[in-house]
Amino acid sequence: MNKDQIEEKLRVISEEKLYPKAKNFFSDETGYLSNSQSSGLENMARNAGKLSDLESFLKKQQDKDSKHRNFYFQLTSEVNDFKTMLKEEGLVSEELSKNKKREMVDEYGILLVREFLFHLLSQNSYKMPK
Amino acid sequence: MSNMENSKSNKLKLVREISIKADSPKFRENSKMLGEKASKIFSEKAQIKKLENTANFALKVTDIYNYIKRQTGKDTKGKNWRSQEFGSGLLESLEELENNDGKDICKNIDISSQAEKMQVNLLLAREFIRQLVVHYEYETRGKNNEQRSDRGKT
Repeated sequence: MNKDQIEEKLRVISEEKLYPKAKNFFSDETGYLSNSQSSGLENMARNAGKLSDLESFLKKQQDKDSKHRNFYFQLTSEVNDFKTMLKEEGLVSEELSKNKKREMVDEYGILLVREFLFHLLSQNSYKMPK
Repeated sequence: MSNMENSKSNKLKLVREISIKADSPKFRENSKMLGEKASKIFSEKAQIKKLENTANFALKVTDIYNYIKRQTGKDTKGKNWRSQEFGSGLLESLEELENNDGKDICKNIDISSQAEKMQVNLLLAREFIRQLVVHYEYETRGKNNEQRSDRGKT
């Protein structure tokens, strides 16, 4: 796949799979993030160069932020699912070496997570009780 | 037919289908109702212009949905996007277009690829917002003219 095809594929995944996932993410258990927490998470996702950086951040937040532990726990679980999604969608080939596969998951994974978080934080802002 | 001619003919079919849907009574009534609502809510044109620009530059319809959600979320005092359920109403109308008209168009002109379906939904949303803005401007200008003529009388 060339760059344009990859970008188009990511847009289709974002629209078809990530948007509905983000829309159904929130529950009484997850609660909602405040505006400042939401901006913090968005900035982190924007600045993280690879998926593993974001995963470490989510792990830290789970330990640190007891009020939103369930939110970060569920988000971590979604992020894990994205790794499988990358393979299912043919963005990361099974034929690649282990190292190359990890590299690709890191590179494309962060793009998917950024898309997901943009949907998720828009939903957070929309549905957060005023 | 060559590939180029084929793609040109498909584009024309799509434009025609969008125009037919945009001319349907429900489409026109909804966009008019939301445009009139917007003229009562937004005294500054900037908010509506930003919505139109977002729609015109969006790469996918969810970019527009997210913009509406964020603007509605920001309005904690219910003075504009939340007022008269403008934001949620607009979102519902666009989602309804996607679920009904968008699917119809894809069926009518035999679109099966996800990327093309996305394009159909985006074009429908743009057309809806374009009509909404036209109604907004028409109503706002009407209101301004009334105010001017009232001032002239006094």
